[in-house]
Amino acid sequence: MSALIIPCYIKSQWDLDCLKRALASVANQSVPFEHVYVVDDASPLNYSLDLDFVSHIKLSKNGGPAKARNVGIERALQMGAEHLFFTDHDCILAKDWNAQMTSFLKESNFAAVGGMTYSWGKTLLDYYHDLNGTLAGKWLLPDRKELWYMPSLNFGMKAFAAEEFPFDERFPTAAGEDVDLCLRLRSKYKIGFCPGAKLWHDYGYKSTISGFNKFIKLFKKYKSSSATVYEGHTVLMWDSSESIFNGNMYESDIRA
Amino acid sequence: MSLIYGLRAKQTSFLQVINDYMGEMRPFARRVSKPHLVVPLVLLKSIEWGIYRWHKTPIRRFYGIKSNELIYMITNACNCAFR
Repeated sequence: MSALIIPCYIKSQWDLDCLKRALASVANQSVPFEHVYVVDDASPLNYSLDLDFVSHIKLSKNGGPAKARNVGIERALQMGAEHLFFTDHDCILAKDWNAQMTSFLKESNFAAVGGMTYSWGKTLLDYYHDLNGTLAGKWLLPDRKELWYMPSLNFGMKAFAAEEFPFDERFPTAAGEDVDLCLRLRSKYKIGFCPGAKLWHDYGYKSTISGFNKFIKLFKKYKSSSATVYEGHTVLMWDSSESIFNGNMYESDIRA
Repeated sequence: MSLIYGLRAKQTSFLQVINDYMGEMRPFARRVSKPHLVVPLVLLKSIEWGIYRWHKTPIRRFYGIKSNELIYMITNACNCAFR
């Protein structure tokens, strides 16, 4: 039994179009999710979702993506979900994403899993993110047998891990809360990597030139959480990792 | 704690910066298969590196530890463990 949790903060028509596109890819899964939770984090834009396979939860107060995901986790656990998956409103899932992620968790001892993330756009900035592995998982070096960290846009956990390790709601934005979760989770369990679970993320760059400001803002946002994350996890000072891209995604068969 | 130690702890040498920069750029440049894209992509990587290294953000700490206190806590813990 699998559940998908999508936190969202819809502030423009573009965000709403992205969410609808994400849900269309959810509806198109070869193995459907038993539950799909769209947790609206008090969005400024009024909208409704007339989709019978979606539970649309609207929070009255904005609390950040960590809070929204935890609300989804709580609901999914109440409904008896065994595998909890997470993505974002600006993502598009490949047709067999759920099938791949679920079978990986079923057939392995990993408590969590990450999939392969690609850029949706075709600008130079999108190509950069693909090579850089900006929103891809990070191999734990030197062995590359497990992930050091997996961004929450392409992530899944077994129910017991989600129950034990919820997101830290003190992270106010979508930056650092997934690093923090992965580092806490790895104190007890391992995070696997499933290269067959493909997902595309739309960074929203219309062109390389016009998207440059957005590109800068993205890294500034990620940097904003680093002080908090480093303070909570001193292990960051000596752990070594390598971001995943097409060239190293099959480094090892970690299920073996 | 001596003043010399304090001075050294706060200052990063130019060589360290270069080392760190090259350590990030070399493996990234090797990922670029199209030669004509090496320069623009390494430039973008340099921007990312610069942001992570120098961009200052409003402090949003919640673990209740002030910046350099953390390293003293670790040092103390290690000293206690090996005593």
